[in-house]
Amino acid sequence: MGPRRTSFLQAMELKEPERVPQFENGIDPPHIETLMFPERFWSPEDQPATERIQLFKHNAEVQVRCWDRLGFSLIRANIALKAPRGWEAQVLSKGEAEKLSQETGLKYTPGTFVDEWGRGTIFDNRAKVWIQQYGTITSIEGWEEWASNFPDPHAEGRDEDAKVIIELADKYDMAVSGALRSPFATLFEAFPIEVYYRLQLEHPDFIKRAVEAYTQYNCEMCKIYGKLGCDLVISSGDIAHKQGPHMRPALFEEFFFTPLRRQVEAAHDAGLKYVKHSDGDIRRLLEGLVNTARVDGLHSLDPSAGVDIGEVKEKYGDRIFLMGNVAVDSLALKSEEEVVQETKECIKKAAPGGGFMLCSSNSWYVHCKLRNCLAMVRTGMEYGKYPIRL
Amino acid sequence: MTTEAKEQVLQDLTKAIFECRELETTENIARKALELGAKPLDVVDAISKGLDEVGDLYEKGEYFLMELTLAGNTAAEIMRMIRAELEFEGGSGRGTVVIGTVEGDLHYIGKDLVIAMMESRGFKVINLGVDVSAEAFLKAVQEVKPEIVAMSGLLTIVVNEMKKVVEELRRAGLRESVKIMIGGRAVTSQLAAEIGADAYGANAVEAVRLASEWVGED
Repeated sequence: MGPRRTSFLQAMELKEPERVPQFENGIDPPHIETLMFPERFWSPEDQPATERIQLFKHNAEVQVRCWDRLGFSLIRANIALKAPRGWEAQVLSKGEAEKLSQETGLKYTPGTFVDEWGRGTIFDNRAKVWIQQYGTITSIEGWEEWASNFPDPHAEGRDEDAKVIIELADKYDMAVSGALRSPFATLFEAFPIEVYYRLQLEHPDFIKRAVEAYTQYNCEMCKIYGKLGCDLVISSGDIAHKQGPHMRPALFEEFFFTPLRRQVEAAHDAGLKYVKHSDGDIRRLLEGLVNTARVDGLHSLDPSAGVDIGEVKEKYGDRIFLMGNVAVDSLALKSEEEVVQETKECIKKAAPGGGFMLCSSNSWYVHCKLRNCLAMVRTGMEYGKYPIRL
Repeated sequence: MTTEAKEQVLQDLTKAIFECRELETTENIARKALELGAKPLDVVDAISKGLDEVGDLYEKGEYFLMELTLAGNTAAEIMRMIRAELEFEGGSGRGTVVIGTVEGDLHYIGKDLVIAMMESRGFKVINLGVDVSAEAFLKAVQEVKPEIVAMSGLLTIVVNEMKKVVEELRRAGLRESVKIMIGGRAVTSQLAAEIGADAYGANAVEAVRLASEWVGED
């Protein structure tokens, strides 16, 4: 193991490595292509990508070398949400979209891609990423029918892409996080939102049963990531929005944080740390995440929603590591000088004592100015050397 | 006795909205109120009181997105149920709102919540969906002649798109015919002023408050 990955692992152990590790959980493909010009990602239509594995290998190579060029210490491998080989998505026809619209009163778009989890997504042509739309399961019966063929974590080909990433990460001395989707988000996104909330309120037993199924899937996924040599898992899916938690903290406590602890334990059994990601104002959920679920780390501590990384550090810094939190809004809208200042503040508040990784408060999405993103990285390099002198 | 019973049922309706009771139960209470002689406008009033309480608790941080969504949607369903009677009574048509997530942004949660809350307060809402171009907003304003245009967006890119909509309306000579509100994670009241919108709604409750003020009743 080289110094870069070692530094990341030290930070996860709440220690001060040689310098603050940096990473991004994601960078939208157009930015990667700009950074790696003239290289580009292949799409399935590209001539060289005659085989799925060739496509994975090429795109993974571009991504890992981009991370390497940026000096990043952590890259993500995704098995949990990748479709197995041969799986074909349902694409909503005009008639199906209209039927769902009539049934739910929502505006479903024809061409919506329904993933393996019943979630509707649309391809954002500008960002070149899939954006979540309305869920397509509308009742308990619908969920039971869907769940009768619940996704198999070991389905053939699900791990093809991740294996390529993990192999390259080893070559480039990076730590690897395995992607998970939180049961709350997976359920919340499978249904239209109002239907989900209605079920949460009126059919709590169903929610518990469903959460159990997703929890088992994630626990099994932790074993898979562990065997493949990952270092941690990061569970995506927001549990809060700009003004606070989606639901009252007591509901999260009862329905989600207790099962989350089982996932955390499964990760530990597999030799992995467990990180929960959420945008939004999670301050009222921190106690549950740290004390009930006992996560090892938090990502992304959204400053635009009022989360102050210094306050989180002070209160929980002896128990969890923190990943964050230069605001993506700043990366998109502010000047380079302002981003430099914000990055320095972030390092000053969160880096002393260790247990800190510098990154944006979500990802480098297509509307972030690349010069701001690079200014954040440069500032991290310049001021992130221990001992911190800010 | 009948008046007392009617008043009690209307209070039950307010409570059912406030407590986010089951949709069917709440609809039945509204039906019962009508059977006991309540006018559709009395039902609207009872719903509004319940929503006011939900909104207050949301703003105090005691209620969450869940309660706001459920109460808003239940109220909107009841409004749909009594729409015909309301129109007959001349109590409908508080105003029309054209709403959409601006071009380049596919997020919808905030927008849909505003729609439910607006409908529950008796506004007619034309939902243009997500990724809506300035031209599509303009076309809708020309066709529907709304009182209010509401633009939503989560991504920071929306700032330019919202500005484009305001400029398109101005170019077409329609800017003064509508009130414009903007909302979403990336925007602020300062930005609303900068792009020439009339106001910024920080959340769905505030959006409805603004709309109600603009149409001059609540």
